[in-house]
Amino acid sequence: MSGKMFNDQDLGFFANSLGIIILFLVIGYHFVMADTKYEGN
Amino acid sequence: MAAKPDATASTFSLKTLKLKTKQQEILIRVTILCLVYILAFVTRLFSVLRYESMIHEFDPYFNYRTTLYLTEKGFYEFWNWFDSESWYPLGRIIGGTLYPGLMVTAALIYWILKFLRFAVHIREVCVLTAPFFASNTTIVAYFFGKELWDSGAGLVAAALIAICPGYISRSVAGSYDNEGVAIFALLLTFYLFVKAVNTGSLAWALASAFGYFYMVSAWGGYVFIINLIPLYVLVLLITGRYSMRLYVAYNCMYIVGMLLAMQIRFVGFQHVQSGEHMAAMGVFFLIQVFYFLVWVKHMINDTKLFQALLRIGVTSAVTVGAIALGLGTASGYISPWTGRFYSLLDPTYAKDHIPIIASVSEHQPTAWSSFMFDFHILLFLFPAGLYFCFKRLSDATIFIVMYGLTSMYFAGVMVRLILVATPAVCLISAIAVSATIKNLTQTLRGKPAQTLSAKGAGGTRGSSKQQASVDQSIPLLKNGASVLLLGAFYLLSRYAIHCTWVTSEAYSSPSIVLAARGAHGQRVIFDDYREAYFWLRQNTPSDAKIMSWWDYGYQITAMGNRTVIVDNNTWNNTHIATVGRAMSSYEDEAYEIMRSLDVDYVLVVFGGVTGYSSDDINKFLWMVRIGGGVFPVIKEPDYLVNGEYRVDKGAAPKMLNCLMYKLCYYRFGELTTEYGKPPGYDRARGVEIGNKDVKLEYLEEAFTTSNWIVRIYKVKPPTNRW
Repeated sequence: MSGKMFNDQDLGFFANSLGIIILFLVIGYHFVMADTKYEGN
Repeated sequence: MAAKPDATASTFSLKTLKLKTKQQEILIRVTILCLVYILAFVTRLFSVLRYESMIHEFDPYFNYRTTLYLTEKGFYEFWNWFDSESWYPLGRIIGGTLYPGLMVTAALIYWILKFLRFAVHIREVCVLTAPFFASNTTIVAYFFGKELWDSGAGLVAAALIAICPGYISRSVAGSYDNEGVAIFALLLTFYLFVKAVNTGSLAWALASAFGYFYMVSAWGGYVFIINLIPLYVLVLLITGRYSMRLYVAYNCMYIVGMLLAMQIRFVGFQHVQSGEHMAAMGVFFLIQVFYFLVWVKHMINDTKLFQALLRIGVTSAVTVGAIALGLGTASGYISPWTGRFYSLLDPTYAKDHIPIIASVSEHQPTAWSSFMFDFHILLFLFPAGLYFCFKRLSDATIFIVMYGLTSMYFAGVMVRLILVATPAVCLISAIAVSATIKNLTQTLRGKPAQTLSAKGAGGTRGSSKQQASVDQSIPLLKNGASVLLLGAFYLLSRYAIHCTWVTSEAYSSPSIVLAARGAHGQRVIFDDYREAYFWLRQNTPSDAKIMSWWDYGYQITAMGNRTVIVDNNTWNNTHIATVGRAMSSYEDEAYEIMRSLDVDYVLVVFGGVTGYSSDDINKFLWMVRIGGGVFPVIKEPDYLVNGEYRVDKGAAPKMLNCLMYKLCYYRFGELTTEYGKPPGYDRARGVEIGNKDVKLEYLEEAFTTSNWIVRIYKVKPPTNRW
């Protein structure tokens, strides 16, 4: 198992971090959208 | 003077680097969508990394076998395929009894890759089809969320659905089943229909009809669409939201969708003949009546006269519809509802009437824990999202509310329907998350300018005092908002972690290869199924007939390449009951049945050595029930002791001597399975077996796999009679 270049535990770590980054970006997106100067609002 | 141009140059470059809000928004939006697309794909690859790239479970093996046939022989051969390797001696008309959407999709992807000179095996394509469509679903979820609420909600919906365990359970790599593409098709159809209703555009309605066609070609769950959309239209009609947009969208979608669906042979003319599709037709006629009445109202221009006409019109339309339905059902033109449909509306129906449906574990009513397991925080966000939807009612939000509520009810009836509810739960929860975060960020970024202008308006001393307290509370409000925002982020990240954990631990097991923890914590792999199927392929005559319980039928034909008596298609209850009867009879009676079916080998799955609990002994009562449902000589109480199912010394005599017991426990009495336990200790049930001295008269052991999970017996030829 450990001989593999990328095993399932690495994938778990990767999926967790990517998921958290995405959710952080989602909040960031809302933060940007809340800009009172935003043209779309 | 010399330094000045430098300074302007640096400010110029900084200015170009600083993005406008609009640009920032687009950048973040596209980044999120790309990352979500990748995440949805990679999070489904656990089983590939842990085991290998292989097809999982039972039904996917049939889908794989048919896809292989399609790519090798072409579409027309596939469409006209009569399979003599299953349901011996009846056979099965494959083209007329399957939903070809999945196979055709995989074959198309395979052909495209081949055309682009990518040398891949069709198995790899089949393994990765479901994750690929899950990624596509996230994009559809984004657009749907955008249509329902705003782009923020769309992004949250895409992120939530990408990792939601309720969806992952059916779309991991290797789970090559209809649902993998069907959820994409389902969401696409709904999105396009809502878009059509919102715009009144014929093009969107046509697109939704094609989405519906794809759904019909892929999964029997299309019945949900063809009942939910009419229900939605009916609700709009009743609540006075009838519009020309709705008329165009529904008529186009229904007519074109129905005509297209008729091209699928398995569905055929059901849209005009089956009771499950009659709601759609009824609403279709009702909407014509509405259109007519609106026209009449326009012509008459007299409210009183129109009121009377409306009453007569609607009453007579409903009466005519009811009479037509009654006549159609009575004359047999319209078929009544099927058992599956009944069991959806009444959860206890299958248990009492159709044991073959009730025997499948995924048809059991859902436990609360599985809701929590599959939805996590979405379970709490769902009602909050409903609240936001009700606060801003529109044609679109009414649709998602109805989709959410009906599918949640069905998810409660059957475990597997959590899958259908998942997109709705994700979308509605996304609305809650997005609306909340939006409120918080707006509070956080709110300019004090608003309060200043308010201050200017207030003239009296009292109000200025009030304003002062408001001013003081603004930093407090902002602090509160940032704390709440952090809390929301924490909750969402817990959701992400939970989803990865569930996917990795619970939903990435191929169930054809079993994994367990050894005594020292290391992973032990049991590859007995494939061992047995390859043994069959290598060591039995190519026309050998294998009898096993129906669960293993697809795997035996796909991997063992041998003819089976029954398989997972379960279309002929009597045939399955015959196998159930053979398994639950004494050996000599079973021999007669097996001779009549030309059975050469019998295959049983046994978990007594490894502690594998989904084996045939634990499924045995269902064989008795299904067999007894057709052949009353088989009685369930004969196998029970005081209503208790036992295999130890206290077991019922019939149980200890029936074929299934003998085949599972043959020579097991000599084996020590666990230290400190007597020989013949069954680890799956935790008891010492009751009949250790099993003697076989008409069968002989042919092969037992290394961990005893699969045991194959040869049926002896009849003894010489003269």
